[in-house]
Amino acid sequence: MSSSYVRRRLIQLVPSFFLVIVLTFVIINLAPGDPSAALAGEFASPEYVVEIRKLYGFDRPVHERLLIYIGNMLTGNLGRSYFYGVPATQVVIERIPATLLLVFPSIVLSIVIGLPLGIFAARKRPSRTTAAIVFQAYILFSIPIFVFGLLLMIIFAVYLAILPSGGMISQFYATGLERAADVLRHLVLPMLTLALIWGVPQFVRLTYSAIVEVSKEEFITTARAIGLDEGAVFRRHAFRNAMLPVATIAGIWISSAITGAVFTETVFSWPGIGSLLFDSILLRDYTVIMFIFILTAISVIIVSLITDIIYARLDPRIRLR
Amino acid sequence: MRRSVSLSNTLTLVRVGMRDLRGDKWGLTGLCMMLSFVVIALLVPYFPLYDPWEQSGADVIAPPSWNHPFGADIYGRDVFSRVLWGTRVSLGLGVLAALTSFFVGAVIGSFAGYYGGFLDDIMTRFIDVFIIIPRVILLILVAALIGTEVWYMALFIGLTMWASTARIARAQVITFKERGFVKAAALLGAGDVRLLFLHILPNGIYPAISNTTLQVADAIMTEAGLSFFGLGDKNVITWGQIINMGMLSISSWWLVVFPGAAIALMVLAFNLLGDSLELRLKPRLLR
Repeated sequence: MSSSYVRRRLIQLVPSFFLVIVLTFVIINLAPGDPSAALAGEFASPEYVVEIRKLYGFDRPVHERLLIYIGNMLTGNLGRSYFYGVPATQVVIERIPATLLLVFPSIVLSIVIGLPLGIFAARKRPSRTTAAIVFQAYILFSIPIFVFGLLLMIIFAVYLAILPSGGMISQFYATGLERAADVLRHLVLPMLTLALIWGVPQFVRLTYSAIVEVSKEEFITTARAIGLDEGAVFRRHAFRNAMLPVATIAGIWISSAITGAVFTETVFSWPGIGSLLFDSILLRDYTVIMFIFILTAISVIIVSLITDIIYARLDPRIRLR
Repeated sequence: MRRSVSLSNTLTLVRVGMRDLRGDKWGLTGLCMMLSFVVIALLVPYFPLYDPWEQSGADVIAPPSWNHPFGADIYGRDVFSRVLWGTRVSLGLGVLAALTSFFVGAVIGSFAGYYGGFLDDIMTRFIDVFIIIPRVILLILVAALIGTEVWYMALFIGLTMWASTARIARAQVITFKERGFVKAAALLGAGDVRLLFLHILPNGIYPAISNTTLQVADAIMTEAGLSFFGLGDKNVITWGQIINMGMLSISSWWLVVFPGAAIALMVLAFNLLGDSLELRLKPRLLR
């Protein structure tokens, strides 16, 4: 049962994955110019630049280069970073831990704050508390993430000067506990930004609307009619069913979390993949850009797949279709 | 004179949308905020303001004062004036992007839903692509590599947003395809295009309207993000751009707070409006 469902979903997603790669590659190659001049170096003669161009294949038409790229990709060769001179995979993988360090605690914090708030708002409706909570969520959602980040930076790093304004470490020679504490101090502001602007409003609104929707269903009325008290009705029926939609759009939230991370990392100079992506785009480091897109696509696909499977497990109606 | 089907439906839409308007505090707030922005955007050229491009060596990074209520930026330009002028671009761009997304999405979605089969499969793959790639990142790529003129940006932003509208349109078309009145019209000889655009779409379009309103908010936020990164059109004034220059002198809070608040308020307005529309238009018309 499960494996055939997984297989079906994978087959559906593979063409989309390749479309992503083709689209990104084509866009990157639409830009005028190519890196051969940069690769050849400052003192190169025009003939050398042409040689480099031929060597790297920049003079070949786009569709040929795309096929070459895909061929290489399937054998694990994702090219060298033009800027750093080392394999693109190395550059990217080095910075993954920083991003994970930022994103995971933010997600956890968002859930810890957002879920209970959403539940509370849903249970207390209609009331001013509910309105206040939902309104707060709207406001946080409407503030651009970089504005909030900059504001936090201005308040805490510039005026109050109690937290650092950027980067991941200040004490370059610290080790062990000191190093951990230093990183944590740097982590506070970016993590708060990502969690409060991206995560919390998302979870509050999702949970709230999910519970409200589920409460309208007939089985809730039935549960009350057979004598269950409100607490049990909520715990056993409303809550569990409401959590399904929250879980299923995990694929989408990963996408938006990555976007949030790009902004947050850039504002706070946090050395993760988000800021790497931004820098690479400005530097036209194509191989790194492609690899990051590939990684992003893969992670979104994996997360979607996992949530689809979980959803199918939890809701038998999906499986039997 | 006989009213056409589409006109009747549009009028019904407006009537239904206006029901119980007095009780809907949030929708009303959103609507009022949006209207205020529209008024500001239209009347800005007539306000007695500093020229938003006029530089002034004396006022470089001036904090807020009577002279410059929102302070001045690193070139001495009045921020109050710049923020007000920025309303025009943000509103225009947001609406243009959302409209692009609406038309592209509605057309593609309807055709996919109507014809089904292979076309539908291809389109679903495409939709998946735009859901997998984070939009903003794709746009950063496009803007940095290809170019950043304001109208193109609006179009590009719209072109990355059409996926959700397409999904809605497709679902609606599939539902309505089998309805009695559509089949009747088909039997009477109506061709595919006529059926789609005169019968199915006028009835099925409602969920897409609230979605499009929300997309205006999304587009404004996206554009702000892009200009913040320096990827916006340098020849027009946008809020993100003001903030971008604000980063150069981080202790000038007025360069971040005022444009930031403007963005937040406009996005909030469209979000409130969009969500309110969603509640109003959806349940009642699901006959």
